[in-house]
Amino acid sequence: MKREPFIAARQRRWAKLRSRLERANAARGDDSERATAAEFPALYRAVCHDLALAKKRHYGRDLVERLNALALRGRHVLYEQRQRPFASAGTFILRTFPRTVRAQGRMLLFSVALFYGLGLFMFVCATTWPTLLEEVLSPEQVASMEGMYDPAQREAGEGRDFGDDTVMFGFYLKNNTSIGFRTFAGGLFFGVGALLLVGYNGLFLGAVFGHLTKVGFGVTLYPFVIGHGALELNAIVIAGLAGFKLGFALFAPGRRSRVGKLREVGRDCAVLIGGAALMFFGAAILEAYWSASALDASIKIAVGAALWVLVLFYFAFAGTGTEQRSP
Amino acid sequence: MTTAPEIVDTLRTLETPEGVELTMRVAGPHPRALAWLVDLGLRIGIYVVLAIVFVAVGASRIGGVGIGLFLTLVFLLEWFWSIGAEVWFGGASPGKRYVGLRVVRTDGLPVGLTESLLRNLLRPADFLPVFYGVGLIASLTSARFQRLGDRVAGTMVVHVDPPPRPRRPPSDEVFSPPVHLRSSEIEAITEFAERASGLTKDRSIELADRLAGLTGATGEEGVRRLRGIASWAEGGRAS
Repeated sequence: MKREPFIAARQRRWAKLRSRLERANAARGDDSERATAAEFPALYRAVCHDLALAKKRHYGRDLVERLNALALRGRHVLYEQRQRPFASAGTFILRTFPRTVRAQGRMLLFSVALFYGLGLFMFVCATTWPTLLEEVLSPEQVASMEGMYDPAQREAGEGRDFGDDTVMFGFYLKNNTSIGFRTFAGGLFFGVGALLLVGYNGLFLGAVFGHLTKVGFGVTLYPFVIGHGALELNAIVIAGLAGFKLGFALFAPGRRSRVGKLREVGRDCAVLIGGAALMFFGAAILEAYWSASALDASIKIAVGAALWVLVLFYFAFAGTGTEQRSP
Repeated sequence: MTTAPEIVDTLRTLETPEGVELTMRVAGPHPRALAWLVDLGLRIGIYVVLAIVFVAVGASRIGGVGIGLFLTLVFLLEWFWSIGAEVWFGGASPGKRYVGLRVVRTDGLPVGLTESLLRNLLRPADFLPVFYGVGLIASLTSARFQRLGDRVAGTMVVHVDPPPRPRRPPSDEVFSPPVHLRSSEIEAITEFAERASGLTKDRSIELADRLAGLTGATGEEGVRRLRGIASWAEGGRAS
């Protein structure tokens, strides 16, 4: 068969596949219209067959390339991946994420120890040797922190309305989550970026807490931070953990190539950083609407402590039950 | 028989269960930078429109809720613009779609949330030290133009459509080659016939003369016969 009769005989089904593809793209999610429609796979296979023939018979590169593009599009729709680890938000939160965190073992301990260890270290330093404080905080930062939490000046959060809270929500979400993502990305430089960011955050927060505690501002500080801290501080630890995984994969890929090892740990990293993002989101809500509310300090402390217990129990036990077949 | 040497080009072939080889063209830094600029322009456009609305309505009437939502929107646009588009809108951000690119896994299948999260959240590493310096070096040292985020995610950026290619003018005569030609040889001749219309007459004669042994003619007659061979091949007789 010559080129022109070949095209003439098959043009109709190419056009049909093309219009099916357009409809499949337009009607995402609508199963009746999607690629699952019975004739789609047959059409796609037919076009693959035509492509093979066009190649074999040298019908011209223009035709081969056109059919190749059509077949590629068909393949994309036909084999579209089901979003497995994130298939359902509930499964992700209750099962996949906490399991993945627990599975990190020593790397998790390392991240926890680095962040909280440096924080505690700096806390002690700031309360014992005030000169060390200046290594981490500038005098302006100290003054601004003192201004924010001075019990004599005002109760933290007093006089804020819903609008002000929403501004702070947007601010916390943007700022803290971005820092978390950068910490993760910093892991690609043999973990150095993640180490620096997690370490610095630990030192910085330790210094702030230590100093404010020493000057007697703890009464405003702790009721404010305890609630969202349960999510936010641990989100930093987990974002750092995801970065350390990347760094360690580059540092010690074992028997694999570095890129191969990166791809292997990539899946876990995606789960970790996705979960950390959700935690940052929750922390921003709490920090804006709950921590800053004018409720009594004892209530905030009690609820905040309960949140810490809840978060610890969550990471210790969520998803440990027997496996259920997901539908 | 000698094996064909490794060809340095931007075509990546994948074998499918349907028994056909599909070819993908990976996209280099230039079209990707263009797509990035288009995305950046669109985002800036959104910010400008919002700023105009802010000024028009007045900051006091918009209030804290408006500012909070604006900050949230900025956060989402900066980090999730590409992720949302890649996962739910056909594997391409608006900029990539405009330039004709899309993101696929290295096995040619569409990206999922896992891959998209990885390649986009690792963007800051590629962006360092300024304007994708690391990403540029990483993609130039990769056979698939993968920046660091692409390597971790196992993704690459490909052209959606083939480049425009002139259709070979139909040849009036069919010339049957006197010896058996291999498939790759026929392809070379077909490509010559396609490109001959874009070459000067002298150049096409110069090229065709190299195959005088095959066509048995030089000069314009040689060019005509080569085009005749391409015609002959197209008739399906070469197989």
